[in-house]
Amino acid sequence: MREITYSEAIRESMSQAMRGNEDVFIMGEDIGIYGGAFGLTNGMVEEFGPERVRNTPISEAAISGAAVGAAMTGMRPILEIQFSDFIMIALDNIVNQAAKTRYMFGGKAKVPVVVRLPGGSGAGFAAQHSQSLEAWMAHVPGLFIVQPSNAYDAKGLMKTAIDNDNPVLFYEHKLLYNVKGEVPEEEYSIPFGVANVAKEGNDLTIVATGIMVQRSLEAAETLKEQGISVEVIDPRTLVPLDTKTILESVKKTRKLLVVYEAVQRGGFGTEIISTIAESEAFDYLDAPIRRLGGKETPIPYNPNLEKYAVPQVEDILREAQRIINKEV
Amino acid sequence: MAETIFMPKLGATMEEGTIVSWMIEEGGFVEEGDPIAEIQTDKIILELEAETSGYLLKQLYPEGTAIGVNEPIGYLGEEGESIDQVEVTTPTQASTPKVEEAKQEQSVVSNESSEVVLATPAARKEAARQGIDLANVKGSGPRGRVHLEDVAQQASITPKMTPLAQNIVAQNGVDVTQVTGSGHNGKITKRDVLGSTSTAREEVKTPFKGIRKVVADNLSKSFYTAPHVTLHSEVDMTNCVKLRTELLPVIEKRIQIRVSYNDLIIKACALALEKHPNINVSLIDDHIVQHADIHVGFAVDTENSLVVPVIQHANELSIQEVMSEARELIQKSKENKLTAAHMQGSTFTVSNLGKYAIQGFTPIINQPNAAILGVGTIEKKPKVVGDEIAIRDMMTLSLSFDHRLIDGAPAAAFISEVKNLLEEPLSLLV
Repeated sequence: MREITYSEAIRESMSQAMRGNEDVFIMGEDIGIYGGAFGLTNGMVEEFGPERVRNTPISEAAISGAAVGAAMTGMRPILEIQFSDFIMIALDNIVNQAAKTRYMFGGKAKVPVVVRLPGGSGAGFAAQHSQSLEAWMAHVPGLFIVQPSNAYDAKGLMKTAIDNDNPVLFYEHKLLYNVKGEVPEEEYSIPFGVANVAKEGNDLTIVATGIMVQRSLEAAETLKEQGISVEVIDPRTLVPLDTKTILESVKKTRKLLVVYEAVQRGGFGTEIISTIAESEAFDYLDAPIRRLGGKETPIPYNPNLEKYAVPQVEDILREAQRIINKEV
Repeated sequence: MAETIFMPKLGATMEEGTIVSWMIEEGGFVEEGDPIAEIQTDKIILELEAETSGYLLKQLYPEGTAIGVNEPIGYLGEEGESIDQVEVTTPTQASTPKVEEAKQEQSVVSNESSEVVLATPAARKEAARQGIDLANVKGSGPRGRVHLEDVAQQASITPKMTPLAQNIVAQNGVDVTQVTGSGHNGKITKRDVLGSTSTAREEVKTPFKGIRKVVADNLSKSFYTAPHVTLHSEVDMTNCVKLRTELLPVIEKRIQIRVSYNDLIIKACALALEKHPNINVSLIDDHIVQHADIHVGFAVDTENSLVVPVIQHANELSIQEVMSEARELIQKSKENKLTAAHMQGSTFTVSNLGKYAIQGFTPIINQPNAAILGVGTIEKKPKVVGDEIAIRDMMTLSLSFDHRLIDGAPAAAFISEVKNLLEEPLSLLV
């Protein structure tokens, strides 16, 4: 199968949707000729024209309001927020309007808006452009939270997001944009709430999100050489969360490590752990559940410190070994 | 200078502690804070930690010894240091008791509270399923936390049981590791468990030492160095029985002692030895020593062991004096008041099992004696007297002698002499 990048996969998914449905359009800062901050929308204005590829003022409050309003009135907008950190300015429209409207109107209103959110650290953008705040959003009922970790999932999940009649926050990772993967040319959907077992194993379950899926898979390869069989699970969507797949895996391996880039304290991994701790899998646990998240610090600009602030492959490796070796 | 290690006072009511095990060998090095020995109080076993780093110069007591609190139990010092100079002073604990005791009491408490078994949920579930007590499982995790594999390991060494057997085990606390299963695939059945509860429920181990060891060594030495021959002779005790019956009230009235057959037998032996001095011998320093005096030892069974007090010059004593002497020695034996002097110097020994249903036996010679007389029970038996069958009081004497020193004929002559004296017991009185 042909290989394209994560970035191209998202663009292809949006373009295919726009070709099939005139109501779908994209908007954001500098997404036209410039192609957006990460070049993801390169070439789209040429195909679909400025009416459907709309450059906006630099005001997340304004553009989120416009997107949510358009969605309420029948359009299916895809909004690009240049850096996911900027969502704070857009939050009133997203949390108080988009997430509530369908509920408050007894299901008569729809808000089919997709908010694309480039997130995560590792690209040298410092403290205000490198955060992973998906746990904030996951707290709000009425929002779907999607976090694709590879090109294939990105394309399929984007189609599902566009087709969904509810607001979807689509977290992309800056470091994944140029990562290639096998992606079919035709359109396809990956349903929300279905986790991907990225690697099967028997000794330890690692649930990882976003960029941490890739790093966990790398760690799992090394652990495999040490005779430790790791199962890596990528939930793909935080809301809804596929607890069943995680639970079954933990029942099998009896050990759980949750890895996420966001600050460990209050991160979404904590929610995953709580879910397991209160589930029937509890009686199967043969080691303390561990989480490995980012350090409690703003993301540093210094590249070494930036790496240090979030879990790397060797961190995952070490933590997994501690669990297996009963050091914790 | 070497430091004295004292038996710690681990609780307000603790008076003594037992050294369960030394964790450092003599001459071994111990870091400050590392355990030296395991100490058992009446409540708990704790580790005694070294107060300073050093070499364990001396273990004053072997494992299993109970020592009073604040008594020295060993010395810690420089490598190769002599402990001759060590002053056995009052322990430092005594001078600062408050702090030490409070601290140690605390450690006792924390140890007791740590009896909560740490186990993962999976280990708990599996232990419950298999009927395994987690307290018996050694945990491989941090702080001894029991993991699933530890339970599996325990299950593999815990024998399979029928449900009925499990119930009985739970009720009676049987140690099933000692039970052999007779069921399918070695499964332990109800019968196996019940068998173990009634018989070998608990084996009692007593250290082989002290008086038991001394007795054992003497017996072994005698048995394996002196070639034993035992002669048996049946004695008609009818006259003795009659004599004793007649003497009983007379002597009892006079000295408040009931005459026993053993007194008569001792006296008979003493008189026979007078006539047969070649039995009254010992092998001492490559010489066969024929003793000038006749001192008869007699075996007394006490609660703790067998002792052999000696009646000196038994041949020169009247029957009444033999009785008094024997009673006093028996009394002392029972009260554990015999001294070495009471047990020294015998030239011959009498061992009487007459109160049991024993006819004859083969006694082991009480070295350095050359012979020992075993006495059986007196019982009525049919006996040919003249040409008639009569009912007589019969008793068997068994004389073991050291064949290196005594030939068969003199030994036979001696035992015949004893037999004759007992069959005509009036001679014992004159």
